[in-house]
Amino acid sequence: MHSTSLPHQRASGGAPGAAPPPLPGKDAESSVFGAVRDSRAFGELRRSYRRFAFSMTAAFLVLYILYVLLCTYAPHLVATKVVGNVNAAFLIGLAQFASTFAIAWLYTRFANARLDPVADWLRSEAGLDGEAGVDQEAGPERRAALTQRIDNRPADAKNGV
Amino acid sequence: MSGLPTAALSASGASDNRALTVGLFLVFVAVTLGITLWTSRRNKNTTDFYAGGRSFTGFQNGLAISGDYMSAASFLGIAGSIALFGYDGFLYSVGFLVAWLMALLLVAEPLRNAGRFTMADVLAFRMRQRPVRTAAGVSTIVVSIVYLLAQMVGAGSLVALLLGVSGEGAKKWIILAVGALMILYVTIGGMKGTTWVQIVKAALLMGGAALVTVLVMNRFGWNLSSLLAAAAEASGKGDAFLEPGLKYGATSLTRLDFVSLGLALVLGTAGLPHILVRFYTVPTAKVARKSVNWAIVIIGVFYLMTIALGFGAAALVGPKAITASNPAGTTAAPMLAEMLGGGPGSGGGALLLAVVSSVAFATILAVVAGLTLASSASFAHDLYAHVIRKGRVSEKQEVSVARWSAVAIGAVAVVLALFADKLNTAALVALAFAIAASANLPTLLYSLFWKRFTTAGAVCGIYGGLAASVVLVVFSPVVSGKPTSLMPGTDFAWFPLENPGLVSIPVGFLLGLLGTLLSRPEDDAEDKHGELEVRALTGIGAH
Repeated sequence: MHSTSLPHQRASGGAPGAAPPPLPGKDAESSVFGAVRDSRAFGELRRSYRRFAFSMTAAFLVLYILYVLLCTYAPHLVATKVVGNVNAAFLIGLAQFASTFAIAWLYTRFANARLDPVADWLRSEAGLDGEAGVDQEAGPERRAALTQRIDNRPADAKNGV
Repeated sequence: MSGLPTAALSASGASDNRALTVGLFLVFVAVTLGITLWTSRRNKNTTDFYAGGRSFTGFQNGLAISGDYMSAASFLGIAGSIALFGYDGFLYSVGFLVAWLMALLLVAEPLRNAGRFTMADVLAFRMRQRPVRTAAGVSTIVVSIVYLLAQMVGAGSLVALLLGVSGEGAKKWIILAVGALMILYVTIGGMKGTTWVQIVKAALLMGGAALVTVLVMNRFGWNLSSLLAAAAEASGKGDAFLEPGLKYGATSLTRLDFVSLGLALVLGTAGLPHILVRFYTVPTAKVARKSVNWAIVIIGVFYLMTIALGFGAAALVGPKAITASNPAGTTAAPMLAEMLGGGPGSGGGALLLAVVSSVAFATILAVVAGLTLASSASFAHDLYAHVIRKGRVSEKQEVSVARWSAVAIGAVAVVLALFADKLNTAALVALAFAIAASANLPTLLYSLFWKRFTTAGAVCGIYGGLAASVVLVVFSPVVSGKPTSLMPGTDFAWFPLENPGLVSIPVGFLLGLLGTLLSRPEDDAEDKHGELEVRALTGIGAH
């Protein structure tokens, strides 16, 4: 889904070592976002988030719409008593509670294990807080170097993805 | 909730009840005002005023989200609906809870990471600021005022009913007092004070509901089946009371209306402005995720308890006594509490009634404060600072405009509530959810996940979804054509459903799509959307 335009060969002229931009701070910042976006690690983060979140969203919407349609258009089907006076309608209603809790738990477990480590790591690499990243001049070179550094990350940081 | 009778709940001992209820409620007001004053000492900059200094923990914000979400409509309304219509009342509970998955999976974390204070921060991020901020500000304020109106009108009737004061004059004074208090909370406390009001309220609401639930379940030996049997018998409708269909199963139109309502509930929650701003009150997206999880647990447990409240009221109080007090069933929960405490006239009954009634007041007050804050923040931050002053405004000026707009929006809501007290609360709440689902959610999702989305698409989506939902309601049986309509004598209704969601939500998505495809692609879409995605997913550059 992510258009794989090669990094740093886009619009901004691209002549390496061009004159320093007028607003170094702002440009430095946007070049950091560009660099992170172009990295493989971010592409994988984006894909795994979308795959998980979109499929879970589809799942809960389908379950809920099924529930609503069953209750409105097939009330006799769900009127069957199952345990004592508790009928099927109650059980599928309570199942909606259960599936909501379950999906929230699954997503949180997934995000904690698979998304957060990558996001944390990308954030520290980008270093907008003043550590690593953009302390010198901005520009296409800088962006390329940052993308490269992110993609050459040590093996242990890959565990997250 | 229109046309409430203003009789006291029980004739005997009504004035004792009233004194006790008023006393407990005043304690709540005093405590929350004290907290508001205490927390407002350091309310200087915009981050303090709009986002409570982003200093809340996941659990605190989870409670506050629950406090903002569980209005009197859900506490008293759902309990009443179940008590009168059995299973169909429970359908609401399910929709209100499931909706939170949309917020958890797609909205809360990206919003926290990429925005600062309002929904428009994210919508306008990669668009032309002025048109998109204006549209988002307008829809934020419209949704909030509709929801605010529902709460205020409900408050007037409900408080009059619970306190046993009669006459239109008393109702108007109560609306004025509620309005004045909510303006005080918001202008003095900002987000920090308002959040603490929500936390206290949520704790009280959960405590009150848990107390009644335990008493009900104890009555029935902790056996759900015998509670249901007793409710079905007392309802006079037998097993049908435990099956879907009593309220929405009548005709194919009422069924379609329920599908429409269900859609609005499940898609509207993640577009409600006063819910969205809550995600900004925590330090990081991870904490925002935690707070939504806490909210799901708290709200889920609460709606499970509505089963005991509603069927308990049906079994122990009986639909006849409930409809005699209030045709919509709003007083089912307080009456159930009175019954569990020993019945009308008993000391225990009076105490429990007072506790549940003052929890209901606290609920109304907290929700209206949350709504006023969200809409005044959007006015000051989106419309004033970005559209009118084009960003050239100091934080101090912006906060002061936010305070004054809270006064103005509060005043507008009070005046509307005073003149529109015949409006139907349930229909207004459903309308607010429908507008949020039709105008806000499509644009929010397109902005976050669709690179091609343009300014024209955002503007079309917001105004289109807003107009579709409002116009369809105006020409629906809610406004004219039926004895229960706002204008019963006239008939210009051509739209058959009471809830517009089934049509207006697809319209919102479709117009956002068409507006985008018919406009030129934005020049810097690649970079801007890339930056938004990096921010949303990683938190780089988050405020």
